[in-house]
Amino acid sequence: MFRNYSIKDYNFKLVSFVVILTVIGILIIGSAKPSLLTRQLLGLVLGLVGMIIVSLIDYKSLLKLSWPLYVLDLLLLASVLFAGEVRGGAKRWLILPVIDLQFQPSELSKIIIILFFAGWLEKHNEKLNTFKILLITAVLAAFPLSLVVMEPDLSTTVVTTLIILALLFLAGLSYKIIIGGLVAIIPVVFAGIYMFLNDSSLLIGYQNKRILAWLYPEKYPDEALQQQNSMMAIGSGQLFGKGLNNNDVASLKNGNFISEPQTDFIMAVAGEEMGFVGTLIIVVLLLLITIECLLIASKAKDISGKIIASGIASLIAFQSFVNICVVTGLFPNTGLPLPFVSYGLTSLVTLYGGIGLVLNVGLKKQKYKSGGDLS
Amino acid sequence: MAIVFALMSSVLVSRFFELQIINGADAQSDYILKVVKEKDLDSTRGNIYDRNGKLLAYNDMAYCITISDNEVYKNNTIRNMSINTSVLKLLHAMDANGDNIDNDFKISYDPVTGYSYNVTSETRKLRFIADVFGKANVNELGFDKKLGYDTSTATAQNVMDYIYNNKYHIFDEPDKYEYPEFTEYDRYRIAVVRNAMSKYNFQRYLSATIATDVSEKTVAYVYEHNQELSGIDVSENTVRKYTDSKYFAHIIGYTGLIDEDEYVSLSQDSDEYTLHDTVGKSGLEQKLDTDLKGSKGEETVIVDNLGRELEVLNRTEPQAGNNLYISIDKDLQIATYNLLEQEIAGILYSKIVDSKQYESNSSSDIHITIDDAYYALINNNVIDIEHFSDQSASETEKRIYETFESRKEEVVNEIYYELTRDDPTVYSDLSKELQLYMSTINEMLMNNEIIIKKSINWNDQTYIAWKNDKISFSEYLHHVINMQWFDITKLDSESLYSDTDEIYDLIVDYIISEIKNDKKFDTKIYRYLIYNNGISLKDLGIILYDQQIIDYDDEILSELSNGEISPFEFLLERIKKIEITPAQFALDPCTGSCVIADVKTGELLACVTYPGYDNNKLANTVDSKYFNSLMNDLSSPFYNNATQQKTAPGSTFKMVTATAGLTESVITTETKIKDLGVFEKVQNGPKCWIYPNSTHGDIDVSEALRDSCNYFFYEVGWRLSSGDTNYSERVGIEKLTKYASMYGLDDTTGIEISESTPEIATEYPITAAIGQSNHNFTTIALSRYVTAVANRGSVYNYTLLSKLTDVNGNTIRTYSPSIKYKMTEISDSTWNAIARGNRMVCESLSSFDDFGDFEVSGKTGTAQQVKNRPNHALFVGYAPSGNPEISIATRIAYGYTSHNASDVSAEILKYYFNLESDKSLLDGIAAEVGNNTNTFTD
Repeated sequence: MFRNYSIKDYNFKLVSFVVILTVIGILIIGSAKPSLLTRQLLGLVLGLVGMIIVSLIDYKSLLKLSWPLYVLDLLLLASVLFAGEVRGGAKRWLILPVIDLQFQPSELSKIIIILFFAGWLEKHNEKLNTFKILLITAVLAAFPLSLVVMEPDLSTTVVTTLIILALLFLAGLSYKIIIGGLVAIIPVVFAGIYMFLNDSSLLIGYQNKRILAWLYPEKYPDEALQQQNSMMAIGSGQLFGKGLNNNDVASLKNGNFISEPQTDFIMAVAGEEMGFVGTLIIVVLLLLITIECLLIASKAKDISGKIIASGIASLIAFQSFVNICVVTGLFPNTGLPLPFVSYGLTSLVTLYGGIGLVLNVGLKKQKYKSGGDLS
Repeated sequence: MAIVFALMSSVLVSRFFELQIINGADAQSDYILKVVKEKDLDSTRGNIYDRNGKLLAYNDMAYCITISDNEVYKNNTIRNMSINTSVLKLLHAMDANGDNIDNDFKISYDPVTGYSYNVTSETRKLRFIADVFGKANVNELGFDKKLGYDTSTATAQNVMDYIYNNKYHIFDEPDKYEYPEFTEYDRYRIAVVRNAMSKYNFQRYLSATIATDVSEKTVAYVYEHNQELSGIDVSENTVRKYTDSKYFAHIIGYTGLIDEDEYVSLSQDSDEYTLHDTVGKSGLEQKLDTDLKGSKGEETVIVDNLGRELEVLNRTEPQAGNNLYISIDKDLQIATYNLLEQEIAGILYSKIVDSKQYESNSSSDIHITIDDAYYALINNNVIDIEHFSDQSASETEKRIYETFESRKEEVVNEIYYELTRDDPTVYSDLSKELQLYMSTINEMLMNNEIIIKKSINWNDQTYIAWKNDKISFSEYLHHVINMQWFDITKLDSESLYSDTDEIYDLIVDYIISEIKNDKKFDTKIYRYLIYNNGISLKDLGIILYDQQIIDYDDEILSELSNGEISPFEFLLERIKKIEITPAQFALDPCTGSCVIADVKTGELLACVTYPGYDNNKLANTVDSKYFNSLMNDLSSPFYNNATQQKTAPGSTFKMVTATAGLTESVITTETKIKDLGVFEKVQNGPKCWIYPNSTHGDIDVSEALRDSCNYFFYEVGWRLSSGDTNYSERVGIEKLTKYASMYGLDDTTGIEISESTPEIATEYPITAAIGQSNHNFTTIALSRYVTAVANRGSVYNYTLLSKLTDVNGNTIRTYSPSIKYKMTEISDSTWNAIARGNRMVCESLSSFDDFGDFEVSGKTGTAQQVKNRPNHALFVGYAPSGNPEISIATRIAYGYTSHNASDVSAEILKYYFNLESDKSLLDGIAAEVGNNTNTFTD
């Protein structure tokens, strides 16, 4: 099967963007928590290997496995609920017993969902705008989403939902339905916000506290503290930052003002140590990666390829957006890693796997023009 | 879709631009504010010395146990578990070593009665409750849905439950977790420690001190177990120590942790105070706090998000406080105190009689029955009746308790019967014992505000009948209910009773339940058990050993047990050897005071009040048990009898009258006045003290001082009031006031500790002339006056201070008495006549018989204040007569006769002038007091 691939179709631009971003991430992790630097390096190596392997596997043959993958995903997510490790009141991790590796199934789940729906939506592309198919799609989406929400992991649920909606849009969902959906959803969202503000028992304890802390930081000082400190750290970096690996005691990271800064709040460290220049580079790199993925999608030879590439693009975009909004205090505090930059082997390796998928889509360029406008 | 992503990116970039470029500089400076903290370094408090440089107050290194919350825990359950278990281990180790935690918690725990607030002020209580419930403001307290009660009216038990189950989870889920063994008291103490820790929640670079001055064993324990005792550490701190506490407690005072009121008032003058400071709480420690405390050092540190210290930026060393030298002579002060105690013990010794009844016919004939002497020890909490029912009670204590219990049941039944029978006994027909119980109950109802004093109509017929013992207690109570002089809400706030009988029943139930748990009431039952021989005095004597009130002596104990010595002989021997002090009895007399001054300079050499107290137990952290025992002590040890207690001066005032008479020329030094016994020129005809046995005959002013002739001075008072031409009380009082004021008797002496303002009489110039009427002077005011008599007219402003030096001994400031008034208008002949009189007083006093060639001058005084209590004994004097060096003013309140005051003054002068060996003077044996029924009422 490799015979069909041409080395000039391998998108080295995308690969280099991803690697540069990961290396920046590793440098920041090395500054924030030096002990984890080698592990993240290992993650990069594993990710690259995984990416190359995945990029050489025809996504079409993976699509044939979409149902078994879907079931595997459900099993993994369910097993977290039964055998998962509790941290900070949520069960999100599986500990693989033999190699003692921590593994977060909801990270992998996002990629599997993209793959699965790429296959599903391609197959039912013609009847997509019928009630029956939409209903079945909704049911199929509901299973993994409800398992994730039960962990509980609200932020991953929200991002996954956004990805699925993006996939539907890419698959050619009729504008009538989109507009109708928006008309139906927006009042529900507003009603939800209204009810939440009046009776905050709707969300689980820590979730509503985080939201309330974001809305009223002076009333929930402990909860809001992390975001306040993060904003202060980013701000104090100013244009060029305090430099990576600085020994300045007057640094939030060194002063332990942000707990576990190498994960979700890594942008706080980046902002403090690399300044506006650093944050700008990271945001631009993320944007370039998503655009590269979208370019590949636009040249995909079929609908499933297009959905996979743009699905991964939206995964990276949405997750990055939500993460940075949290770190800069635009959104309430949730727990989402920043793609490629945050510490976390599961996240890193699965994202590289996702990029591998995109690369494969790129290798199998379209022979003919079809489908909707993807830009 | 790329457009959407590009838009999202631009949102983020603009946000970063806003944060980092627009607001970046502010963020950085905010951040510096948040991490750079200043930490005070305590300075060493200055020492206090006597005039000769003998040490009185110093700082001792002491080990303190501190706790900080610096560790990082996985979650709150583990955190609570870890801290609570550590503290429990520490508590058990401290218990084994006899150490206690510091406790300023606003709730007390008692194994019998449970939890109760120990704050008197309602606002402080609410502030405390708000702190516990995590409210920033007391207004935020109110009904709490989750807890199911109104937090603003939370009981002490509610608060503790909240702390145990919600706040600190102190061993609250024994089913779920495995806890070490603990008692309710342990839980309480853990709560105390956690509360102390919580004050530093946001300043974790500071650690809370939870025990002060612990033993080395506890220190070793903490060091050896520092792995399992998370956050617990030992710090070396200084604690204030007083060398001769009871002699100097009132002058020096003590230090302690600043309270909020003190913080507010001290901060007005200095911004150096913080809420964690130790400051002087009373006496000179308080008055000279700013000089003694030194100035604090400062350390600038960088801290992390929880306030944990990361780095020290700079450090300014603290500066030690100044050393204070006071004008008092330590040895003289101590000797004077001990001689006073010996004298007072001697008086008490001579007044106890071995009989059950004694009817006295005058205030000089008051005696104490042996029953009352033993009962006094129960009444003044020297014998602890609560210990009788304790597990560790001795056999004798248990036996007495059994007797008491069965008697108490009878008493309660009798009272119930009297209160509920149809024709209750009129008060005057009740037995003396029941009368006492009924009046105790009435007092209790008033104290507990069941009966509202303010609403009582004092002219009400029924009330007057009750006051005159004409009706029964039951009838009185019914009347109180009918007149609505009571507050029913205190009894039952739920239901409303309108019917008098129902309310009456409610009050009776309340009385019965209250007296069952009332210590005061129990004390009264013991009183009658002693009177009626229900409890033998011998058993009470044995209990003195059991409760370690006196040192164990096998021989005496067995003599007492087998009847070789009677309980009377036994107790008198203990008084004689001052094994039980007169202050412990708190009978008359139990207090005394003496002020000694240098007459040439006005310097104070001694300022003694008896009894004293141990200020070491109040300094640093208050020993609340000791503090309460002092507060309840009937001899009022906190009261300064030298500077605060005021009584009439008696005949010691006669030099003022002599000065006035001679200077106003109503008499001359040669004028002779014949003592007629009764001064009939005014109504009531006051008598000379010697009348009707005799009179003093025809005498001049010096002889009148010698004889303390009342008649002579009545006549001078009469003449000062223009008696022979136009008698005017106002004129007489004005003249006396003029001369008394010259001697400084109208004002405080200026010493640096609390002092009462003396009062010159405002009526009856005739009796005022002999020191009666409403004169009211402190001992120290009399001291200033007699000093001026001795030095012929120099009235000083006193000071207790001598000098301040810095740490290296360089003098910073000196203090000396200043002349308040120089009595230049008084002629030498007047001074000579008074001096001659004063000398003759001591010549004729037996107190000075063994002084040989050494001449002392002075004046005695016996002042009558209350008819049914003994007279006050006073003596003022100076020595040597020819060239006076020191003056002395002594008073024993309720000390029977001035002879007792002159006796002890003579002893003190012997000590000062080395006329007798210290060993024979200070033998620790009660002075011998002539037991002749002395009717000397000069």
